[in-house]
Amino acid sequence: MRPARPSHQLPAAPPSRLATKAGEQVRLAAVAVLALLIGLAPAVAQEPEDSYSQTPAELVPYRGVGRPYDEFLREPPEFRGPGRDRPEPELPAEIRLGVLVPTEGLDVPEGRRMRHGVELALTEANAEGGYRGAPFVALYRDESQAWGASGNAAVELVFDQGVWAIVGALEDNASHVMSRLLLKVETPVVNTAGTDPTLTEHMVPWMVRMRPDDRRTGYRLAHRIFEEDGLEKVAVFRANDRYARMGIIEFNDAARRLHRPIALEVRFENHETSWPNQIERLRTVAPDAIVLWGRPAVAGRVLAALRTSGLSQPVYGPDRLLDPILLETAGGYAEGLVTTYPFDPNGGSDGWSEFRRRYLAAAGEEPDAVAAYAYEGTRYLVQAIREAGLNRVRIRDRLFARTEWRGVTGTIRFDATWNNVAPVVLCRVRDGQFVVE
Amino acid sequence: MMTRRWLWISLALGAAMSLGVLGFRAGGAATVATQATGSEAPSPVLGDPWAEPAESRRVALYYDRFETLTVEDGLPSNKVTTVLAEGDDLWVGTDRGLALRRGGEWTTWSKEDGLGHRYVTALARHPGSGDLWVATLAGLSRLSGGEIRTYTQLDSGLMNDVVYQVVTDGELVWAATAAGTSALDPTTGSWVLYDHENSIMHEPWCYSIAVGPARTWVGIWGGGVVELDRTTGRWREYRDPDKEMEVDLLRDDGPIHDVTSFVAWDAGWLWQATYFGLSRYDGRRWRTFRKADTGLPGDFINHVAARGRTAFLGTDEGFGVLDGEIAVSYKATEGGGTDVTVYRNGELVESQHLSSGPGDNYVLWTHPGENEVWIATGHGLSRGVAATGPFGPEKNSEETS
Repeated sequence: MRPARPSHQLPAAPPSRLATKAGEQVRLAAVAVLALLIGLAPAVAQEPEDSYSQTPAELVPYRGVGRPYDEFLREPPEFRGPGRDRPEPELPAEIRLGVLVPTEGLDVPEGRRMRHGVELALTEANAEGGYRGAPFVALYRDESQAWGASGNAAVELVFDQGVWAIVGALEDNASHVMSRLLLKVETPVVNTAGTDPTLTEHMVPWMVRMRPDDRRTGYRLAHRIFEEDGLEKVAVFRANDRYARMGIIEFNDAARRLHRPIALEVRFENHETSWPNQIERLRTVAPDAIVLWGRPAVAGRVLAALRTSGLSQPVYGPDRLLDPILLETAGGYAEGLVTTYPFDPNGGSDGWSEFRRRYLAAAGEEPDAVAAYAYEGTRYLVQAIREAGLNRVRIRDRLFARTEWRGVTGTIRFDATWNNVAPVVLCRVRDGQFVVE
Repeated sequence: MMTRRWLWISLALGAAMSLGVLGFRAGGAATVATQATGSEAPSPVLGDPWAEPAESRRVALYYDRFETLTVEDGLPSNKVTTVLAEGDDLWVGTDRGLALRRGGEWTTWSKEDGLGHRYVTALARHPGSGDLWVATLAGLSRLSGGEIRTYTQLDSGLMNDVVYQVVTDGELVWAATAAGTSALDPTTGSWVLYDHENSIMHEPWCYSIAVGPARTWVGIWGGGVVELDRTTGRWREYRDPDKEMEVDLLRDDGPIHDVTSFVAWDAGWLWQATYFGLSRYDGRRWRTFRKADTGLPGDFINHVAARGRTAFLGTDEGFGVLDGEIAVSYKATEGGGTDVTVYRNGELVESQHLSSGPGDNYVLWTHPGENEVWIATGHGLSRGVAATGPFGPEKNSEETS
């Protein structure tokens, strides 16, 4: 048993921006007065006034070594180029939007739900009159080909199809490729499914993200595991792919900053069907808990393998694991699994149950976060187009004009990079179902 | 499921192996022969990339007259993406095609003429053949003897059709693409391919290439700068040491950020442009330059060009020139003028207003010459003429390296 460590005041859920600012001001004032009294004013001056992306104070990088030379991503990204005065063209027969979804591989189920979410949003928007009577039309392209394919698809959508904006992609490597390209061709993109924190951290002023990222997930899991559950020794078992490589970073950093560095990180390949060596290493380390990070179908099999191997430690994971396919592949071994989720999937917001009913009727399956944020993002984009008119720069300006958006998932709160920093919740598998704790 | 591109590359690799023409260089990169007689890439230009040059090049910091070309003057588009000035020939890349001004007449090429795509991202002249290489958003095109041939990921070793930059180095033609870097030896038709699976780059999103003696540097989106020592085949990676996207912990400790938008090299100095500021490496130490403490026109840098030991910057807030000590910022104003500020070691020493200015402050590319600089902007192609008289506290020196 490791010795108890001092308690860390990591909030269970990030407070609102205003609350954070007010609280920070009070805290800073108190600390400044104290420092003045004891002659430590220079140390106080090194404390950051506001943390990036509502990062809890305990998790701010390098917080113990003073103010960094420079702090980025505090100001909204701006597009300072020309184009806003470009006149609106004659009303086209249809308003085309590009949508990138995976149509092959492990992500097909999520891609299908993403498509259903887009379709429902556009059906409803068109029932309201579309854009000045012209219907919105989605042009779908596959993102699941080799790295870089999304760039080729975006070029075709923008130049050959004349789309006004793009929704997607599901996978963050495709979204990264697209974001740089769309900076060149000056076309807005609404990301609805990506979880890589770096996706909105490059200052490209053309991309907004609707879904909370793995920074939020990492912080929440760290708080749950180390503070609420009081566990000390954690091992990570993750997929050897880009999704998991990028996703685990913030959790690992949080663990280190809370003085509980990860005891072991082992990886699995998505094509593997058994993991005896990795499981043996986990057994040797004997962690208090295991964090499992990967795509739901594979993660479900891994979870089953962990349990059948006799590893009974609590298992935690990111929101992407909250998927029916994980329950299917893990079977009864999924019991007790704790995951984050961007919102209460059983009815958090006022509009959720009504959305769920409409989605179920239209798609024939239950909605999830991928479907819901695809719907949210498409509605957000439609609203921006209606307000801006058919001008890509002005559409972009409208996307970056709001700091909040009330939708079916609750209230989306954008930070300075237009990344959703709304608090995430925790769910547990109980009796074969994900239940919000 | 295997994509067509990888299928093609696999077939090419298989064919090359069966023909015995596939080699692995010291660095581990596969060379794919696209002709049965293909061979490995030729040796690079040798030398010390960090040595101070024996001879300096004339570089002007101060420009006091600007003129701008637009569609009314013959450009295909006012959005100018790249420019290459060669004597009296002016090659201009735009989002609506390639244009050449020769003898006051304009000739244009676009997709219908065989160009890979109408959006041109970069231009490079091959010194041996004299061919012009044109990077586009849908392939790498080669203008040779009045003919255009376009290489794509389906019919060549090009890693991706979205090509962000092309440069030449000796016989080699380097292309930075959205999914890796390719180098073609046009004399043999052989390609060398680099991505995250056979080089040090941990992401394959290549956006810029610079070449110097014995070295090739690739600017990676999210991966800093990677350097290939072409004499040994070894890779080296330069990353922001603090490993955080939201801060730069220490000034001058390495690249300012891992999201690299452009790289340029000349006279022993490597410049890294980012959307967070500028960095410079001299082979031993890094230096950081930011708008707030150096006087750059802006921190969102679309392009950096190097001439001697001076950097020319295209930012979203104007055009700038920096020699490490002096930073001159040019910002177009309403009415066609320019506000110019001169900083020396971070201290404002002069500000002026000029009656002419660049077409726009959204600058995508610069091409410095001896007594002029071409500036590709979001509204036209501008030419700055070097000041001949005193300019603020200084005047352009006769020979500044």
